Amino acid sequence: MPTTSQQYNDTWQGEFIQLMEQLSHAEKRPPPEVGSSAKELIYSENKLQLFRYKPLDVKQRTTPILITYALVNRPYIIDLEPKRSLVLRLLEQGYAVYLIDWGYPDSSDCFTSLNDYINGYIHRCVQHVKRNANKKKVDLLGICQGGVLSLCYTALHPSEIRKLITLVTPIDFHSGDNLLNLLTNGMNSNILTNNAGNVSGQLIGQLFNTLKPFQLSREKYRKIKHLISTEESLDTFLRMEKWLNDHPDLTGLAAQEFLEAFYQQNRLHKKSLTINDKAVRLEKIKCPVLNLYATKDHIVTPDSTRALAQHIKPSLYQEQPINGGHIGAFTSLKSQPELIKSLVKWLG
Amino acid sequence: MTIKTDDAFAQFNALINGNMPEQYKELLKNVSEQGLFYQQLIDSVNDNNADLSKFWDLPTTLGFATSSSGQAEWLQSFAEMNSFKANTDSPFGEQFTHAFTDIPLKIQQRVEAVQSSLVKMASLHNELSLLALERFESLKAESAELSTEQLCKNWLQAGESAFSDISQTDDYIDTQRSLFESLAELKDTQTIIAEQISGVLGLPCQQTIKDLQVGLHKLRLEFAEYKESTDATVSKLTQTIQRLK
Repeated sequence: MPTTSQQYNDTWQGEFIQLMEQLSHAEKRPPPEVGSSAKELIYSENKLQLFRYKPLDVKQRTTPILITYALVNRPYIIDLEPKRSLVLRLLEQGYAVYLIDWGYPDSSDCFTSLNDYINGYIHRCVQHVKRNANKKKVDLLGICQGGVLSLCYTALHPSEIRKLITLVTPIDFHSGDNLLNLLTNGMNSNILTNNAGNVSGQLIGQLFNTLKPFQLSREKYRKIKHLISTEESLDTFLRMEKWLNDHPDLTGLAAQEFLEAFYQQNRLHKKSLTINDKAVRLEKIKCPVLNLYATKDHIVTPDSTRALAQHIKPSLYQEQPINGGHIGAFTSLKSQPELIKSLVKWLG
Repeated sequence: MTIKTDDAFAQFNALINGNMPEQYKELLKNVSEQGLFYQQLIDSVNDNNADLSKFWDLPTTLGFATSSSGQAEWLQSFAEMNSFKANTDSPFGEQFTHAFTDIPLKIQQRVEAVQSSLVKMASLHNELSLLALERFESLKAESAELSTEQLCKNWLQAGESAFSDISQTDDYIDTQRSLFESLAELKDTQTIIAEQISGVLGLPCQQTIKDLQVGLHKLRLEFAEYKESTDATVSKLTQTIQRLK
């Protein structure tokens, strides 16, 4: 017999009451922490902060890894909680890990361009990491849009990078099933900018929700049972929700440039991209490249990511599928071991 | 066990109005809202309600049905976007008398263009809802026994598959493009008018503000590059001194 409406309502209400009770208890302790791995600030510039994570008591490897995340989200997703922390897994393997935190742009940043991000911020961060680690080159790990910026940087400054890793990074923005491309096709970025001259982070969040509107807007909040099963599962959910709703604004100029050059004109893949009037050609990357892609990624499809193979010399290029979605690829307890194993084996 | 609805919602209201962290309040509101939604869905299905298509209304699902802080401020001033499609028979002037006393013709035309695009989008959203309903009914017919969990899964599958199909049609893409173009033109016109009014009132114009922002930005970059150059020099000198020691 199908569940009656009353039975459903009673079950739902019972679970909702439990959720309220759990949140009431949770109110008496601090909200679950995110990005809690110990780190020190080694450089700051405007809103940007460059952190070095404190090494663990294990044998240290030589080359530092600098992690560059996307501009559309906060980077603490890579250190969401200890069990799921990509940062901690790398520290456990003895890598010296550095992270660029882009901060929260305001109206004074609206003219920050892609050139400023790539040849300015990233370049200066690389110099600081090199000095801090006393090394002549660094390993660069770019995630999602951070991977795009990292690729551009490496193509323009090949002597700075020993090895490059891209994780869930779009290359071909016009690949099939690329819903973001369809959504942004013909869009004038001018309509997205707010009175500060930037693109509201909240608007970006809504844009991502339109990729799977029913799942992300409704289904996610239907199943309360798994939230109330343990304090740990509720905490994980709260951390993820915090991150999902924590969208910094995008600087107006960089957002416009990215929308037009990448999403609309696909210039990186078409080999017609210029940054500060200099051609950005991925073929100029001379270091080994590991391209990690998520098999169930609806935001950056495997086809989009794997297009990188068309640009990098085969002897330098390696790709590795990771079973999971766009974020799950590096946060899921199932996917992370596979990811770390691939990284460690390749990085050395 | 008897669930006392009044107690649950009294508790809910107490928590929302209390000192709970905002993040927790947002979670409770989201869960409550979706709980009510699914409750209505299940009630409607079990009551054999013929009109289920509203459960796949896209603007409502995404929260675009009402003006919100997520929208660019300039757009919020035109009240609820759904009111555009709901009042297609009302003369333009009547809809905006309360907001404007004297609307320049150009901006009026731009808003009408936006309205026209929104009407087309609404029609496509309606098509999506109906397609989702059709698929939902098919899934329902295929199921021998329909638990609530299966019903909700069917709702989701029907909605996402309908959205996937409709959103990739040329019609949807073209309509969306027209909407974006009309919105861009509206914003440009609004900016021009704002500039004209600023000029009359003796306020700084947009170009002045832009010049200041560009200047500040350049200054920051120059300083950062200078600082990096200094840091690099200091680092080299330090290494040299250490070698000499």
